[in-house]
Formats: sequence, structure tokens, C-alpha cells
Amino acid sequence: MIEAIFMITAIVCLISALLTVTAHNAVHALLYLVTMMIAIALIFFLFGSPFAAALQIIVYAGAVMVLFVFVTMMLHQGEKSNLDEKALFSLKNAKGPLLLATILIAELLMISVQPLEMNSSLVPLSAISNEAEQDSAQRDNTSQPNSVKSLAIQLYGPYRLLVIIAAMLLLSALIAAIHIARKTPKHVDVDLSPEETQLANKQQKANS
Amino acid sequence: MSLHFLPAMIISITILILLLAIALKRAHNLAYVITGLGLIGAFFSQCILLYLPNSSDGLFAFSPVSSLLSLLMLSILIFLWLQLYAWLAKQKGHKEEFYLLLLLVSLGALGMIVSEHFASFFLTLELMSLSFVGLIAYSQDKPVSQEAGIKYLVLSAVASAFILMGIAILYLQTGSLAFEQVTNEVSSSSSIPLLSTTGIIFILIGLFFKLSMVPCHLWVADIFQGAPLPSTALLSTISKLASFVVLWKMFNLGGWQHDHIILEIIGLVAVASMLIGNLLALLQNNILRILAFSSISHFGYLLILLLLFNQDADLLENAEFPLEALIFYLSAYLITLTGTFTVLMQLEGKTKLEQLTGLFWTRPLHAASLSVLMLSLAGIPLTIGFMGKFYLVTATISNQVLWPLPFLVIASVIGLFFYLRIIMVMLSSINQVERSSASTTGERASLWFIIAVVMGLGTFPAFFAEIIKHTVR
Repeated sequence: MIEAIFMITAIVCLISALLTVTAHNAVHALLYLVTMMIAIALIFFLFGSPFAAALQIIVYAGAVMVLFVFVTMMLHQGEKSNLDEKALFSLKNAKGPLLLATILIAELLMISVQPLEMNSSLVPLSAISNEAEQDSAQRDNTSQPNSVKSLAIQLYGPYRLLVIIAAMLLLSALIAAIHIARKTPKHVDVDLSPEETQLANKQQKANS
Repeated sequence: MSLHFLPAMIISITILILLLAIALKRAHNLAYVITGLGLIGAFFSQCILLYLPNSSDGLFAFSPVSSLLSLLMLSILIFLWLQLYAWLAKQKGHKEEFYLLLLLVSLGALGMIVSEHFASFFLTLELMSLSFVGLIAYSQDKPVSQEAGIKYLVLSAVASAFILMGIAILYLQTGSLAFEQVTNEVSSSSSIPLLSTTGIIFILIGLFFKLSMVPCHLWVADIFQGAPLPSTALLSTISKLASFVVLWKMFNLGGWQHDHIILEIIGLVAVASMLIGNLLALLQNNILRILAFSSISHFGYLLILLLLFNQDADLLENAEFPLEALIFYLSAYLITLTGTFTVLMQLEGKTKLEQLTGLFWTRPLHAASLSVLMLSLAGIPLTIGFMGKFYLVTATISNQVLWPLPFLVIASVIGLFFYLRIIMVMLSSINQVERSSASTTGERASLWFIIAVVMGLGTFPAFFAEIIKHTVR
């Protein structure tokens, strides 16, 4: 039963990943991407780590989506892009992701409906965890080795340096992104190619 | 927290101070001075830590060898930092972020050299690569450099994907992420299972992308040519040093090198890198492209040394000799490369061969030092490059791994052609006599310093070799 659900989820994940790469439109690709993230979250859930599943949905499916909407909102302005956006969402295009997501929901319902004993066979993958984790798990007597608490103890215990390094990593990405994305100085704007100037003029007219 | 973290702590604190300083007041001088103080502080604290005994906290492991390599890296950084002010002053736009990214790169590389755990290795690798993307795409007025940045981003993403996949496979097989446990698990069984070998090969491919060894050398010349000069210098020294140290560390830990599949891959990549790197460099017209391809072949030479670890046959009866040779060759190559980029930075971006025509008549000191450096890269006696190659060949012969040597000789002869071609171009006479701009005292001092180090260590290598020997034992 569980194996079958896992196989279906994995296949859904692979199909949506392939469709993400091959989709021509960025928004369509994003829909498949989100479907893939949700499928991965379901796999985490099947492996007995609901926290990782929740993180997967919040961080990837949630944050990526919001960021993308922000970017599209900031990049496209004016009536033309409104029309474009209307054309983007048609049921025909949304069919694929909807279908895949429906399969995932059906699976989730199936897991939730069946009795608990059936699920207990699949839960934790506790064999793979290092000694420190087992120690802490024994100390606070939690039966779940990958609970939020033990994760937090790990992160701020033996792995605290990694948290610092991750912070530095984000800092460096931020600095690089801000520097690269900064508007180029005025003198560069002078030698725009003719097409670009035409485009800029059109946009100005459209705005006014 | 142990004393060993001091250099990295100093650099992290410098990053934060620099960030605050930029937020309060943008000043190129100030950023330059703060960066320099941080680097020099880290250098001296690393000097003090040089002979402390080994220690490990599960994520990072410190040994005299890693301290020596960090010291080498910090001295290269300081030397490049000295040249940076004059170069950045001529650039448009904001200059302070360059120092921030430089410090972040050095933090990542420092962490990578001492990493002992796949999690710390991967995070520091990413810290270094992401900062490099910023450094490579730094110049805003040059589309070429943006293109190089994107190419580097794609390459490093591919490399990271390979490394992550390899780590995941090894974790599946061994249930641990620490280098030591993984290698113990792998080498305890009589024959390495195929799945572990696959994981190791994935990690090797990722590291080959970082080192731009031959099957993975796509775009490396474009990146070298497109990036701003100091970024290229950092990329070819710091990034490669850190990646190679990780490669060596993985090899040194366990019984991976008894697996004949991995040995064959390393051997093939080494030979292919030596030959193809030098052949590609043969007819290039840009000195940066030549350096990019020659770095491929130099790391091909270095890969031979990896084949020697834990070999049973050893004529010198000195098990540490391959490691000594590795450190010596690595330092020799990196010192030479740092010198070359210093000269190129002082020549204000004259990197095409035509632009270097007749350099001996316009700027004799620059031309002389560039020739010495090219001879060192080619491995001509009385330079440090020759001593490096001498060490390498001695180690290879004493371990009786003879088959790479013919390829090494052929590759070196091919290499001689384009190194000498650069010198020939600089010697050729020019038609119109253009008076050179006089060099400043600082430039002259640094050039004399480069010549002194390259020739001095090449003529009297004993001092340097003793330090390495003392550290390795």
C-alpha cells in the first residue's frame, strides 16, 4: 500500500520535474515546479518526517511562488501585460498541474483515511542518524528522532558553526545580487541600441 | 571554541566591520585598510597556530598541513590585496563591495581547507562559489564580465548538483557525513561496493568542474578572459587551491585509492588534462586564455601525485614524500601565478599578445619579471617552477608509477612553446617608439619581490623544503 503510494508520488514528481524543464512559458514551468515541490513534500511525509514536509511546502511552494508573483508584478506594468496575464491563465494550460496535484491530494486522503497501524510500518528512518542525535533523543526521551526539537538541538549544538556559515552564504549572495542588479550609471544609458530606445519611447507613451 | 578558529573569526569580524563601515560612509581608502588589517591579522594568527597539534570538532579538523596551506592562501590574498587598490581606483562604480566579496571568498576557502564533514565542506564550497559569482560579474560596464559571471554560475551549479548527488549516495551507503567515518566504512569492506564508487565518482566530477580538469573544462577560458583581472587571479589561485586540498584530503583518508576504477579515472583525467590543456593553449592570442589552459595542465600534473598515496612500493622509504611534493608543487605554481597576475594588473589590462609586443623596450622591469614567471611556469631551472616539477618527478619515480612520466614530458615540451612565445613577443622590436609611463616605487618593489621569490626559492629551495618537511611530519 505505502509502496504503491510512494511509487505514484515519485512518478508524479518526475513527470512534473520534466515538464518544468520543457515548458516554454515561465509561469507554466512554475506551476509544474510547485507541483513537484508538493510531491517531494509528500515523499518526506511518507518517510515519517512531517516537519521537513511542512518546510518544503512553506519555503519552496510558498516562498518561491510569492517571489515569482512579486517579480512578475514589478516587471510587467501597463494594459498590455494585463492582457498577457489574462491569457496566461486558461484552464487548458492549468490542466496538467491540476491533474498531478489532484493525484497527490487523493494520495494524502488515502493515507489519512486508513487506520494508524497501517502507517506505522513506514515511519521513521531512525537508523541513519549520528551518535549525538541519538544521545539527545535519549536524553529528552522523545521517541521521534526527527522532531523539531531534536533538529533545533542539533542546529544550535554540534552544528552551530554551519548556521553561521549559512548566514555568511546568504550575506554573500545578497551582496552580490545587490551589486549586480544595481542600476548602471547614467553614461551607459546613452548608447542604447536603437531598438531599445524605441521600446523605451513606446513604454513612455503607454504610461502617459 | 578552540583557538584554531581564530583566523576565520578574525575574517568574519572584519566582514561585519566592513559592512558597518560601508553602511555609515562609503570610502575606498577605509575599506582597503580594514580589509588589509583583517587579512594581516588572520595571517599572523595563522602563523602562531602553525605547529599546534591536530584537533578536530567533527566538522572541521586542523593539522599542521592544513595550517600551512591556509598560510599559503592568506599570503597570496595579502599579496593580491596590495595590488588591488591601484586597480580598483581606475574602475567605475562602487568599489567597496569587492573587498567584502574578497573577504567572503577567503572565509569560504579557509573553511574548505579544514573541512572534515560533508556538510561543512558543501556549505563552505557554496560560500566560496557564490561570492565568486559576484566577483566575476563585478564590472557593470562590461557585458563580457556579466556573461562570464553567468557562465560561472551555471558551471558551479552543475558542480554542486554533482557533489550533492555523490554525498547523498555515500550517505545512503554509510549513514554518515563525516569524511573519516565515510572512508572507514568504505575501506573496511574487502571490496568497495559499486554504489559507493558511483558516489565517489560523482563527487570527483564536481571537484573536477571546480578545478576545470579536462572533461569538465568547458567555458573556463571564457571565464578567465571575461572576469575582472583580480577576480581571475583569485579564481585561479584561491578557488583551485581549496578544491584541490579537499580532493587530496578525500584521497588521503581511506582506501579509496585501492579501487581500480577510481584510479583509472584519475589517471585518465590527469593525462588528458596535461595534453589537452597544453594543446589548447598552443595557439591562443590572449595571455589570460593561455593561463586558463595552462592551469588545466598544471592541475593535471598535480593529479599524478594523488595516484601515489598509500602505494606500497617506495624507493625513498619515505611515506610522506608525495605529500611534500604536492605541497611544494602547489605553492610553486600558485606563487608563480600570483606573480603573473600582479604583473598583468600593473600593465592595466594589456592581455592580448599584440599589446605586449616590445614590452622589453617600453617597460623593461615588467617584461623581465613576466619572462621569469613564464619560465617558472614552463619549469626551466633556477626558477621555483622547476623545483616543483623536480619534486613531482622524484616522487613519481620513487613510487615506481612510471607510466604518466612520458606524457608529462610530452606535455611540458608542448607547454614550452607557448610560454616561450610570450617571451618572444615581448622581445620583438616595435616600430614607433612610445615612451613608457614610469612605474611607481610600489610597483617596482613588488616586481623585484616577485623576481626574488621565484628565483630565490628556485635556486635555494632548501629553506622552503625544510618548512614543508617539518610540517608534514
